[in-house]
Amino acid sequence: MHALALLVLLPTAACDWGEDGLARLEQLHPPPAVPAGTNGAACQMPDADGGTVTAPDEGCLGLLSGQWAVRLVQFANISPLGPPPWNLTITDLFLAQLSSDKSSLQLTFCGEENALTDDTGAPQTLGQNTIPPALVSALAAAPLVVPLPGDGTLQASGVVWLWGLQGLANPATTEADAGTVWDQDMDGNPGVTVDVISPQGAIYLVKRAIFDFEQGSVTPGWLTGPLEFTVDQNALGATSALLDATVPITPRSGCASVYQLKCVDAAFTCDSLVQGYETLFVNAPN
Amino acid sequence: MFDFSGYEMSDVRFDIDDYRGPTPGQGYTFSLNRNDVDLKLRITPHPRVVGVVETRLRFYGFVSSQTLAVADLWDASQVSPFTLYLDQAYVAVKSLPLSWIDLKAGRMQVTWGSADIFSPNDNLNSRDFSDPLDYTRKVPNEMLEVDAYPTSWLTLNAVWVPIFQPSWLPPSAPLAFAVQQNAQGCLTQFPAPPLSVAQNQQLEGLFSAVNPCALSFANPSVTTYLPNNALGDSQVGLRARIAVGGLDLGLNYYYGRFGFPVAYDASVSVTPGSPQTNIAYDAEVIYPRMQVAGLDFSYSAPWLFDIGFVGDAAVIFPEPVNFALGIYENGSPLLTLVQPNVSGQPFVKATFGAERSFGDFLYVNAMYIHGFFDEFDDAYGLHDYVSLTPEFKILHDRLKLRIAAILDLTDLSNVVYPQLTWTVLPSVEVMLGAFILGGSTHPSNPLDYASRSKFGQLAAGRDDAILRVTITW
Repeated sequence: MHALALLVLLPTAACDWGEDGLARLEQLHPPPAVPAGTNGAACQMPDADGGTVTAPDEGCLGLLSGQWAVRLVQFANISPLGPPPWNLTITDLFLAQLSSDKSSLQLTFCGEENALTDDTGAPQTLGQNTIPPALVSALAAAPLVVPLPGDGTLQASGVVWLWGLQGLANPATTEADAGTVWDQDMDGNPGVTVDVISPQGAIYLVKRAIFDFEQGSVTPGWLTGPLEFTVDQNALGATSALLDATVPITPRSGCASVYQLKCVDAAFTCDSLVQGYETLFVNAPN
Repeated sequence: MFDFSGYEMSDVRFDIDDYRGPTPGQGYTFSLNRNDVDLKLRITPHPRVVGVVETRLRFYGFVSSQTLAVADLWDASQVSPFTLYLDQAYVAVKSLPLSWIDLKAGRMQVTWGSADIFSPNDNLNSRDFSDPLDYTRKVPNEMLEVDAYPTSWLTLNAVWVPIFQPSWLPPSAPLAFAVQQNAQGCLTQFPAPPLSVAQNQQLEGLFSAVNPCALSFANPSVTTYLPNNALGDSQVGLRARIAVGGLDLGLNYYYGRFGFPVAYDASVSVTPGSPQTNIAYDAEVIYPRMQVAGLDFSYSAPWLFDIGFVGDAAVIFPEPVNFALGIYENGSPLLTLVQPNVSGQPFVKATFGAERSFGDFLYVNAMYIHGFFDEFDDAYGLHDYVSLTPEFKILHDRLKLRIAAILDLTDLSNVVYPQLTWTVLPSVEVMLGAFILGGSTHPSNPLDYASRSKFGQLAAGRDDAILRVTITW
């Protein structure tokens, strides 16, 4: 009877069998907590479920007054190991105020979050950057200026943002001693220094990003629209040979990058933005 | 009643190549100097009871290490290493509980299927491949067998194997994972794991930025991840054999595990340092579960030149296996790659053969094999083979020349095993032979796991010359 029960039991065990090497690897090497900002699926905005969703401040009327929290979400591809490309979502965070003559918007850099996933959608950290505080301060000291049409909307093209480079028209160089390179974060290394999660280290680079803010929509407390971008970034050195490589960043086809501005009160700070950017822009109009 | 039998076998081998070892240039030395003493005792304490015990005492004929400690020169296990095997130890009871039922229990070796060696239906015992020239050996295992003979033409067998035992592998097996370095110790090639070519390109890209002379690879460590011996890890086999005229037909079902290892996971641990970055490769292999539904037959055709035909075919329902490779730098994950290694889709393995004697002088056996006994339709896939074994006999069978040859039709690698056997006196044989492997030692595409040649890869072993003397009693 026992043998008969065994005969019945064993084949039915086949229904849910399967051996997953990844689960075994995670048992052997427990994965670290996924870093904030990882958004997983392609084209997924860096928004978090849960948390307190706040309405925009009422102190803004179009781009004519007030302070704005700005999020530039750039969907990109990067191939740190060659094809197939991985998905990189760059989220640049700024606080924006109007110039006194309302002809431009001054974007003060608050921070950048990067989310990297491989071609299967699995989060990866290989080559993933984080921006050290010294670089945040250095970039914040030179606000990104976006010219405005003056009608309360945002539409601008060819807005250049430089990291460690001088001269808006100059392309990013690979030569650390080129005249266009400067030690913007004043750490003694050429260009700017960006930390890398893995392999752990730092890379010295120059970067030139060019943004096209296309005509978007203006709703009370919000201003959002499509964002076109190109990134020209070159490594000038690194703390290890593994990192000393220039890997192109290209816009990801099929994903619409966006700019999002949300009206915030005057007491709102960069720290508030960096800590709350995943919930602050939830419910932003398209 | 006692029946005592056995043999004594002295086996001396010499490596006749210098390129198939762990290090190029290593060869032309004795590789084996072995003595086996097999003692088999068959006891019949009652007409319906038989007990069988077969042990094998094996002396290796080399000291355990070239740099043996002087303090160990008293120690027989170091100076003259030996092993004791228990190849069989079982009791058989006839006509219990019914006159047409026999029971067996103990340590046994059970063979199912009709085709010699290559039967995909022969799964109850794993293979003992520790000596690749002794390729018919099996790993004995404890099991319970019920044999029923309800009619003269029908035999039923049921076997339960509580504990899974994996196959034993040849000493050359770790070379499948070995990294290759040049004379300066610089990395020249890393064996492709069972990932896609694109994924292996990613891996290559990861390390291509680093000077290969600055990488220090430890010997890869490959360990088994065996089942935990739960009830569901047991093996069960059922078989029916029907004898009709000259046709012997078998149907069988097996639930258990594949006896050869399948790649499961690998961890590459990178520890940056100066002047060298240390890299450790630790892999695990598993033995996937499977269900096998098979059919086999043997038939001798007197109307067709007395040719004997055999055939085995099995549909294998495998457990899916996902392979994962993780790269860790100082313990932090750097990159994870995942790829199905066994899809879980059913596949077929089959062997068909024919044999015929031509007078007293020549015997020929030919087989077609789809799926070698160590192949499981994983990332390496199933290859097709032909084997041809002519045996020439003269002097009333006292002198035999047997040439066993196998050709892999998929990658054209091959093995030839000629053996000249002289029966000096009844029960005393002297065999002079060679075991020669052919095929590329390097994969045709270093990024393709499946491109290693079956018999050419270094893991297949060495080319050997063999002198063997056997006395049986």
